[in-house]
Amino acid sequence: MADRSPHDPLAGIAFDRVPPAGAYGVTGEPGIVVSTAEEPFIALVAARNGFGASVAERLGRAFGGPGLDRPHAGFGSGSTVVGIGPGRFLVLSRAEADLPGTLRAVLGTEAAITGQSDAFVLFDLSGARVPDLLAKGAPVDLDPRVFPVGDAATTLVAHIGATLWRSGETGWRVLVARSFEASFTRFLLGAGAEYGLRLEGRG
Amino acid sequence: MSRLNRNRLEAGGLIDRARPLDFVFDGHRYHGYAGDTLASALLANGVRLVGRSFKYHRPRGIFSAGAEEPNALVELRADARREPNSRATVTELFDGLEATSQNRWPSLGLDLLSLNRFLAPFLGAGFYYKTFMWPAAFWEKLYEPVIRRAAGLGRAAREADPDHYEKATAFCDVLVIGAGPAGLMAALAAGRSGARVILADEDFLPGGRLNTMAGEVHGQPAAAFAAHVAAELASLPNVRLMTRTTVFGVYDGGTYGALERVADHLAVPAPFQPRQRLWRIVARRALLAAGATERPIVFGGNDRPGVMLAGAVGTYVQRHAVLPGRHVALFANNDGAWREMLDAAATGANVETVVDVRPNVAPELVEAARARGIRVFTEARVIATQGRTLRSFDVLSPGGRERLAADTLAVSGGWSPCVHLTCHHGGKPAWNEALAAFVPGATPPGLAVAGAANGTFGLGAALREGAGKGAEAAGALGFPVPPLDVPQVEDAPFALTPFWHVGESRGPAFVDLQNDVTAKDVGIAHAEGFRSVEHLKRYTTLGMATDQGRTSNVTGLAIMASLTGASIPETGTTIFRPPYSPVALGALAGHHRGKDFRPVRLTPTHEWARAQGAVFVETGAWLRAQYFPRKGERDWLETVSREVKAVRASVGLIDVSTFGKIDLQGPDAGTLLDRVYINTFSTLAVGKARYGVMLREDGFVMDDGTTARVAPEHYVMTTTTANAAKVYQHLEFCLQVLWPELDVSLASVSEQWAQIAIAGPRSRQVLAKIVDTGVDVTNEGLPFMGAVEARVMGGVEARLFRLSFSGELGYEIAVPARSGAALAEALMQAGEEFAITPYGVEALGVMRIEKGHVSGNELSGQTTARDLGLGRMASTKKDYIGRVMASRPGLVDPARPCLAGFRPVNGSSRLRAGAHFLPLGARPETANDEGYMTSVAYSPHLGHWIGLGLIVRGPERIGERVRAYDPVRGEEFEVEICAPGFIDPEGERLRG
Repeated sequence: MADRSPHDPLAGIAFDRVPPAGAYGVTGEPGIVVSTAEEPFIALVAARNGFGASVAERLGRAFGGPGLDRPHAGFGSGSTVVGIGPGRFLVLSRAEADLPGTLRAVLGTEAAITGQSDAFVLFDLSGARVPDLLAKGAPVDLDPRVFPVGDAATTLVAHIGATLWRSGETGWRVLVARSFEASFTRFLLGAGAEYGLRLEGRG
Repeated sequence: MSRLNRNRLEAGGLIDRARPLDFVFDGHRYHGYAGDTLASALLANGVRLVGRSFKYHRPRGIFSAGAEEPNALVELRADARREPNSRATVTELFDGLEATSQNRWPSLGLDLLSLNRFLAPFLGAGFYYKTFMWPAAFWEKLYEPVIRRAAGLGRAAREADPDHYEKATAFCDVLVIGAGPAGLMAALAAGRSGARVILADEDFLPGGRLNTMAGEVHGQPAAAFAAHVAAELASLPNVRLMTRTTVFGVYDGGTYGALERVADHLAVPAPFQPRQRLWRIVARRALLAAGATERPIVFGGNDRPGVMLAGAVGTYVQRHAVLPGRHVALFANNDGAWREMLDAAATGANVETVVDVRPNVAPELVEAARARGIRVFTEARVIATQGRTLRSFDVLSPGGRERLAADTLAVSGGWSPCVHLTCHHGGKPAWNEALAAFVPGATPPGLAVAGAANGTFGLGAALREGAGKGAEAAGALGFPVPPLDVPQVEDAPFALTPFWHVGESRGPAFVDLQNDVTAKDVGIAHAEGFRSVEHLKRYTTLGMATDQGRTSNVTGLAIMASLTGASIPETGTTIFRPPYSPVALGALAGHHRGKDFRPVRLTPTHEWARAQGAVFVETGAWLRAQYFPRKGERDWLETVSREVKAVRASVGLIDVSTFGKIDLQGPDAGTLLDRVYINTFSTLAVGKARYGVMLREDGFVMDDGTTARVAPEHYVMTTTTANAAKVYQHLEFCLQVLWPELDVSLASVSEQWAQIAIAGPRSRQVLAKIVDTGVDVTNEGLPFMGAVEARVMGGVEARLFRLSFSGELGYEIAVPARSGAALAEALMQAGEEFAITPYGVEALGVMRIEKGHVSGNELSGQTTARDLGLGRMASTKKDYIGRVMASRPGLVDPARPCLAGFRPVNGSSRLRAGAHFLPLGARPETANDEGYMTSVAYSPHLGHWIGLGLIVRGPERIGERVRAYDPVRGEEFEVEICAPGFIDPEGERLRG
């Protein structure tokens, strides 16, 4: 695609590399800031049959949030619990190095725990235009009346499986399988260029 | 500048005289204003001839002022941005616009192919079917190229499109399609209730009919009223006003397709702005307020430039302040067209003649016309026209025949509601006798219709209906709808006498202008027995052009009905499919073009492999290292052979992270595995792995792989790369639907673990150097098919498996994905003394063929475990998915092709995968087919090509020779059947 427009934000970037940090698209104050700097510990919690509500409640007490067994993100200090399916949760923690061990202590035999710290890349998206950008990839209604802070969705974004949640009024988190990092970043740059996008790397 | 716009009125219209725009048509420079379309600007400059017709290359002008345009199709822009078949009537003028007429050669004025029109008597309906029947051999070489040249519309750009397109999803409570009188009122009523409203209109200026009419609404000019309402809508935070947006399709679950032309009105999109955006709008309720399309009367010479729909004449005069001509006449069957002409005359058009087919016309209209000095003919019809562009026309009236001068002949046969979207779920429009038009029949769920699209033609009635249905939609969703003050507008009486075709016509009378279908063609179709509207459409091509017959369908149908003597409803109608108007493929692709066509997955060692010089290959979504060429190697075969030899002689490594990896935890994990695999896993010892085969319910093999037991209630399954998602889905299905009582939790860990295989006689020595102190990797500590959790590289958690796909002593080492590249580096360092060699999927493939392992080529979905020589693995002591169906007679037929190895008899032939096996001397025909070669490789170990394949009774025929026949490549060779497993058949290397 050598003859694509000079306004192609992906011009000159190899398709099989994570694009480098920098400013993309229109200049000026960026409408979107993307960061992948935070790499929390992550574990999957799968409640055993009949323990969904109990596991949700225990997770809420231990890691913050209302403890609901639904597509919702509960926030604690340095931790987040995201419902990704009936009785299934991803727990993200900045502090707990042995997250599976901690979870076993909290949940006993009520759930199966699987370490997933390396399975995902966590994208932190902020800025007024994030919903406009996500609308270009996710078939999810992100209107604040429908999708308030704390709501979560496990869906496809630009054909890539993702779990996303609203972490603040203009803050969003998106978890994407690690092997898709380059492709997902390319989507963000292509879709966000018209609003101006700053990509911050992993320092 | 305005002196150059010789047909432009001094004042009025919705153009901005302070913003002049330059444009070029066929190399000539012209001027227009902001607010013009290309068509209105051409007319303002006196350009009347803008194209040639599709089949006969007849001169054509501008026929309409909207999306229904059949004639004024041009090539827009140049070079890579060239777009053929752009409708000048909906092309918003911009500074520097370049357009070219199309379908003419060498020029618009002199078109040599217009000789076709003298051949017209021979080119009628069904011409292609009748003429180009034989000889068949002429089709590709002669007929098709000639027809394509003659009948082509515009030329597509030859370069890649430089612009960016994208897709997006929007959600709303109420979607209003069309921002005319009904749509604006509906959006206002729903918007004021607080509902989330999207109002979409294909025009760049909301208002629809309000922008093209004379007269006032709510005490202000109609267009000003529209602007006022649009401004209020734009100010409401819950309303999204989308101009330049065409809703083109209705899909399931309240989903609507829409195309937003973000930058089509600019010469070049603004930096980083997409050219077009394809919207998927999910609406709880929708209201179609798309208006109506005027239809012509069919008469002799009705395609001459200067013949124009009456409403279009009104639009150009009122909205664009352009007089389409100096001498205007009207030919109509309805009162609305009279009023349109009287308004145009009041605004400055020189209307000279009105011809009406009706004997009786409302006296006040006749008086008003005569008061303006307009000659009126009633019970009359136009039978012919003259001039290259229109100069005069012939009227037949009770007073006789008369030739009258005119350069513009406005024509109106009434209006057809734009019911298109109502048909997208299969709804058939219903014939309304009073309106002589099809109105919406059954509509898609959640879609209501208002205004002219619903057959409500009066302005006041349309405003009221829009407001009412907008309120209804929002109210039904629970929004409190405040009362709306709907403007009081008098509805002029709608009087019309259906009239379709002037039987006394002289010269060709066109029904479908874009596809050059005449009234006579409809007659031919009828005479030849094509009575159904579907047959009429396909035989004559009526309504099959890019305008989808907007101005021709009803007329064609009416003419057919009059020929058969049936009524119009008895004759039926064709229905409409999406898209309502053309959608560019670029918009459908959006971001996903070129290398972004679909997402790619990169392995944890991708950058490391690149640094090693890897050539990558797409395997599904993954990019994997195919091989690692070194300087001086002539071709891939040399490279791959070196990699294979290195592994067999010493040690090599390959990233196998792409295999699907699934954690199964819970007390019933073993039970689940016993039910999905043909062999038993519940008895597997902790710390051991086992190869397993799973079947589909129909008895065919679905996937294979090894599964290890890492704890009493914890197994780790591996799947093939290709079937990773499918197997996970299968297991979920089993647990959620078949056996919800089983206490097993699944987790995909494919992304969590990087996995690298090392293979070769030195692999244990390499492994020993990277494991942490105390990890026993001796033959006793980690025997063949052993699986342990351990630490490597100084504390990195890992899973070690002693497995082999290559047939050599081998291990797979799994570490967290972010440590994958470090593991590769550590292995390279540890293996340096053994010249450890990175190898790719090609070498892996060679080695598994040498070893006789089946892979994707054999797991084709058409093979059973027995076919693959794995039948003895199947347990007879338990039930498992696929067991019953695998015992069907057809699947246990001893004559089924089964896995075997093959080697060339002459020792040197290159084998070919896909070659079919035939008995020696047998004719190459299906009856003699005995199977086919599934996989081939050059074996550096044996020094010749080898293959795996499926052949009838293969295992019983070891040593027999057969013919391998490859008609695709035109090759054949003799092969000997041998046991699959060309290397170490006893497996000593594995266990050593």
